[in-house]
Amino acid sequence: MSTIITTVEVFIEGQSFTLESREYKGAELRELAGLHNKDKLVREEPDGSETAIPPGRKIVPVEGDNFYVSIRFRRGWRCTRG
Amino acid sequence: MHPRLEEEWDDIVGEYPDARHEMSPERVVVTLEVALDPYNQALTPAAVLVPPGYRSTGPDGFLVPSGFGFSNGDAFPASDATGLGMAGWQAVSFHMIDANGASTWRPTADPRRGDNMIGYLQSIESFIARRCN
Repeated sequence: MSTIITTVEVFIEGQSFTLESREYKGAELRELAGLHNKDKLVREEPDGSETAIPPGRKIVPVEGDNFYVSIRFRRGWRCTRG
Repeated sequence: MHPRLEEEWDDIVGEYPDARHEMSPERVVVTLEVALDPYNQALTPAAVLVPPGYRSTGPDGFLVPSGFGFSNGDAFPASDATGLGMAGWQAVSFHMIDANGASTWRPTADPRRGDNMIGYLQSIESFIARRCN
């Protein structure tokens, strides 16, 4: 009897990852891409807004999700996307 | 408690278990772990004032106790917060803005999507981890 594992392709800081479709903590997503928990990891939403994914947040990534480290704060700072 | 903050509160406590809600002025207070190098203490409280217009209006900055700063004596980019009703604290002007100074604060009706208090707190942590850069 075979086991079928559903996967999704997501992007973290521009790198492609094929992940088993299951729940992940924000810390796991950071670890995959070699990021620190202090990095503000966000998910790009369809309307262009960003949702912060803190290390303890549990999410189920969906196909094509784009995660990146967001720095867009303080005077004169721009949003940068990996 | 501000109604939008109430919607976000369970998530805030989930990520920051010691989060406290205090009034006059209304604020969220959490404890942040920071690096002893370059800072003068390993843990610090950080407070975010909740603007009356939240969520449309994003937070205007964050506060840390007056004694918090760089261990080498460099000036910490903050000003006395007594005028904000927070004597003994210093305020860091900290906004979600683009290079032209326009706000990029984009909350949504869903408290778990778009900009929210957790995202703002995460920005503070990142900012402090980058030595306030």
